[in-house]
Amino acid sequence: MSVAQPDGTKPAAGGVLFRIGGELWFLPASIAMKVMPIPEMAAVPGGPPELRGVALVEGDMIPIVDAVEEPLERIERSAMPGPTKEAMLVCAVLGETLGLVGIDVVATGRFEPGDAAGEVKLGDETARTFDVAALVARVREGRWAV
Amino acid sequence: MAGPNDKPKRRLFRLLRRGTKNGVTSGRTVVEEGALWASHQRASSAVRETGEAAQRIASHVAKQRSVVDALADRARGVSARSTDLATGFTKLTETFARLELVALNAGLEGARLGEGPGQALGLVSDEIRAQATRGSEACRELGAALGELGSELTQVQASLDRARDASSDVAQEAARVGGASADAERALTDMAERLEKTTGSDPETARAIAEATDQARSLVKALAALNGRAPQTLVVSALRPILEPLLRLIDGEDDPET
Repeated sequence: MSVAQPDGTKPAAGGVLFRIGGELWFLPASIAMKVMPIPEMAAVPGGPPELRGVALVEGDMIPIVDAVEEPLERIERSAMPGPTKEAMLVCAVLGETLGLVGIDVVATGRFEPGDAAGEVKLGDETARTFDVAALVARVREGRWAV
Repeated sequence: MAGPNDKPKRRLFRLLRRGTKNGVTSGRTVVEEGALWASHQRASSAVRETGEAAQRIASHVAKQRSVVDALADRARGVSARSTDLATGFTKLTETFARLELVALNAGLEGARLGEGPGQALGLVSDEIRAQATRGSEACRELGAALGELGSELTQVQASLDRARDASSDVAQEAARVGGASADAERALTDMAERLEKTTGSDPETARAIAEATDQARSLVKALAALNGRAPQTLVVSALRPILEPLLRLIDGEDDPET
C-alpha cells in the first residue's frame, strides 16, 4: 500500500517491469525476488498447461509457471528472439516461491507511480501490477489430467 | 680439281640417276612424291609439337593443382578458425546476457533498499545493464558477420573443389592427347618406312629433287630472258660445258661420279 509523501506526491514504487505479449506489467520488489536464467526443469505429467514444470532453485524445488495465458500465444512466444527471453522471475507470494517464465524483463528499480493504485509509469507507458496470486490460483484450479 | 660444292652436286646427280634407273620417269610422280614427303614431314613435326604441348599442359595443370590444394587447405583452416571465433562470440553473448541479469537483480535490490542507498545501486545497475546490452548486441552482430564469412568460405571451398576436379579432368585429357600423339608419331614413322619401300624415295631424295627442279626452272627462265638478246652460238658455247654432262646424265650415258 503506497503512502503519500509530505508534499502530497506518491512515493516511487520499487520492483520489476516486464512485458507479456507486448503489454507492460509491474511486480513490486516485495514479491519479485530475483531474475535468473531459466533453469532445467522437470515436467509434471498431467499438470495444467500453465505449469511448465518444477525446478531446483537455490536448494528449493519450486514450480515454474508460464505467465502467458493463451496456449497459442505461448507457442508463438517461444519462437520469438529476445535478449531476456531466457529469463525467469522468481516470486514469493503467500509464503510460496514460484518461477515466472514467458516474460520479457524490461527494467528493475524505482518507478514513478501511475494515476491509479498499483500502477507505475515507464516513460509514456503505464504498467498495471501483475496478479501472481491469481495466476497461482488459476494453476491450482486448472484442469489436471489425473 | 674437286671444289667444296662438288660433294652436294655429286649426290644430286646420283639421286637423279637413281630416280631414272628406278623408272620414275614421270615428272609429275616425282613432284607428287616430293609433296607427299613434305606433308609427312609437316605432320611429323605437328605431332611432335602436340606431344610436347600435352606434356607442358600436364606440367602446368600439376602446378595449378598444387596451388588449388594449398588454397583449399588455407580455406579449411580459416573456416575452422571462424567456427572457433563464432563459439567464442556465443560465449561472450551468454556472458553479457548473464551480466544483464546481474544488473537487473542489482536494480531490484536497489528498489528493495529504498531511496538513498538504493538509488545509487539503481544507477549503477542501469549503467551496467546499458553497457551489457550494447556488448551483447555487438557480439550478436559480429557473430552474424562471422556466420556470413563462414558460409562464404564454404562456397570458396566448394569452388576450389570444382577447380580441383576440373584440373584433374584437364590432366587426364592432356595424358590422352600425349598418348594419341605418341601413337600418331609411331604411325607416321611406320608410314615413312612403307612410303620409302613403295616409292623407293626418301625425304632426302625428295628434297634434293625438289631443289634440282627449282634450279632447272631458274635456268629455263634465265635462258628465256636471254632469247634474242645474245647470239645463239655465244649462248650455246657458254652453256655447253655445263649442259653436256647434264644431258649425258639424263640420257644415262655418263656417270659424273666417275
